[in-house]
Amino acid sequence: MRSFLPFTIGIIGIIFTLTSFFAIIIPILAFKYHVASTLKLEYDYNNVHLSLLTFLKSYCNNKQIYQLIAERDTNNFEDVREELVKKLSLVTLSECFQLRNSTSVILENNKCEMKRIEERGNIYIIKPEGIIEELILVIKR
Amino acid sequence: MKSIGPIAIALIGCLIFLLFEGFIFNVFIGTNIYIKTIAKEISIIEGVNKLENVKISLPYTLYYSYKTTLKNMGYKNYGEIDNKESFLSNFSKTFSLYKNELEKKTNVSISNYEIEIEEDESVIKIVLHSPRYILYESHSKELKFRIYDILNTTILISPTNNTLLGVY
Repeated sequence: MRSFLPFTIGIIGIIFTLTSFFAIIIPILAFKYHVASTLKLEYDYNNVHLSLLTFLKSYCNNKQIYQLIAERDTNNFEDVREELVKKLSLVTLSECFQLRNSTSVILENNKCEMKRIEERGNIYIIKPEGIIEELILVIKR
Repeated sequence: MKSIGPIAIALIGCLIFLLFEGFIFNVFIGTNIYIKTIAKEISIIEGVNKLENVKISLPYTLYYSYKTTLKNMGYKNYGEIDNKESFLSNFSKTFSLYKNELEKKTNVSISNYEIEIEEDESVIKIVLHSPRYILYESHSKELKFRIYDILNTTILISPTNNTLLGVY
């Protein structure tokens, strides 16, 4: 029996070390994965936000696109829709995107297959009635 | 010697695990610093983007405030207005309402600004400037920072048909 005691102590020691090792490492790994995923999402959000800003700042038919989008209910928006889709495609470097507000689609390019990776960004614009509208850009890559 | 052998092996085993664990922790601490730096950079970029969102919206906030004030006071264009001071006062109130809505959505604050309207035969010039700045403030407990930007916007409007001629 005496000769088994050192083995028992050794095995208990190893089990203790292994348990404490995994008990600490696994939560840290899970946390790091969570942090990395969040950072990736925020980074993508900022990129799409920047694309949307660039798009709204650019011009189409001597008018800033911001104004064309904000006044789309009153001006001849249908005349410039195709041009705007082309510009948005250039800015986003994607053939698969959708610009919408909280209720409806404003601009979209349907020449794409369903893709898994989706990036989103939003921006607030003011409309002629003084209402603040949220524009959401969804890009599929 | 027979009884010391297994204990020594167990201790060496434990020591190897501890060393390995120490190495892993060291790597984690190192990468943690990078993650914090990246998180800070991302938050700052987000703040800058929000400021840009407000900066691009301000000329149109001015323009739509101008058009709404004209409509509410029953004028078709700026030339018809008898009391320019009253118009400026109403215009400032409307602009303030619109600006507040924008501030709520973006968390960017705009304070101590001045609005001037200059009239010319060919153009109406509305200038918005501030001796202070527009400000974005991060509310995160982990990361507190402020981003300031100069507030200076000018719009040009046609006095005849109220179309927007330019944004600066």
